[in-house]
Amino acid sequence: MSKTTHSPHPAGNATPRADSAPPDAALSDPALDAALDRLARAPAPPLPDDLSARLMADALAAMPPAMAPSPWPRVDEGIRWRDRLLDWLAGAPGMAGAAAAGLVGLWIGLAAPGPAEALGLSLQATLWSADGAGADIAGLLADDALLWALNGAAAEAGQ
Amino acid sequence: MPEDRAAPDDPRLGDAQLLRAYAQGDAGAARALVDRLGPRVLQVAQRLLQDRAEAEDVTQEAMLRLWQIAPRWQDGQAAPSTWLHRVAVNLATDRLRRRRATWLEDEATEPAAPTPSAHEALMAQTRARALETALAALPPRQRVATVLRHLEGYTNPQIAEVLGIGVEAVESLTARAKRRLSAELAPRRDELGFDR
Repeated sequence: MSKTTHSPHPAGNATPRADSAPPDAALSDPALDAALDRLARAPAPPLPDDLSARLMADALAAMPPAMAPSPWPRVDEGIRWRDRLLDWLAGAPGMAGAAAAGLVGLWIGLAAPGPAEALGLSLQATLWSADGAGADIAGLLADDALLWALNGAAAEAGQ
Repeated sequence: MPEDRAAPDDPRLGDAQLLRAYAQGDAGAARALVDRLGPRVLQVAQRLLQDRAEAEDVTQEAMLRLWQIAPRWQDGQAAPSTWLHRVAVNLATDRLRRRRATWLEDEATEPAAPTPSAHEALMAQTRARALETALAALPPRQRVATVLRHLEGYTNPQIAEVLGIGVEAVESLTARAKRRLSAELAPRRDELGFDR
């Protein structure tokens, strides 16, 4: 516990007897004055532990509620954000699902040209066998709209 | 328990800064203020009331008022220590007034010789303790006036305001108190070193 080091005269006087001379000036007792000065300058004894605990309990109870610290232990900010995201995504299973969906999307994005081309070649073979004009059609396979139109025409021709 | 964020013994932090920190939720600042201001508040309350339990109650109530005013504390007004001190003095004198029977006995006949209890205390205790004992033996209003003037640094007008009396009455109280203290301490002055 820290010892007080404050001025012994909190009322703000430079000296205890700085104002007008009192009528007891005739009662000159320098020894008594010196003893009173020594007593005034003596440090106050520390607070008893039980009183100190009561004062702290009051201080914490009276602390402004909006600014009072949380009674819960502090957590890392990153962990707090992870928890919030987990809550928003309905927990760990939800987050795993979202992650899987993201990976599938990524795979589709990267792997899309392969299956589309395979699909075009397959359709080309079908058209070739239908009317023998496959060589001319093959160059147009990159255009999906035309591809589907031709596919529809081939189907009608087959009927 | 909330964590303490202020260094309780950091002398660079003023009382007003600590009070602002407390108002922002810093429990460490509260601890620092308790350690800094509490002992002197308890001491003056004890000197005025001469009752340990009441002095502790006054200290607790004064500190509680400090916590309550913390969010509204404004720089430029009295220092927190001064404000708290005056609150404690007012609370203590209010309690003394409620002890009406003893509060009004200032005009009791002054003893021609030290009382036996004070005399024994002078012989048995240290110089400071003897003076404290002699102060405790003063009638309540003389004691309040003397403690505030000679130990706490109040001016006579300030004491007059606290006691609700005139300045001349304060001067009279302190004069009578000093005469009485001198009489109480006279037999043991040499032994106690009061003339050194």
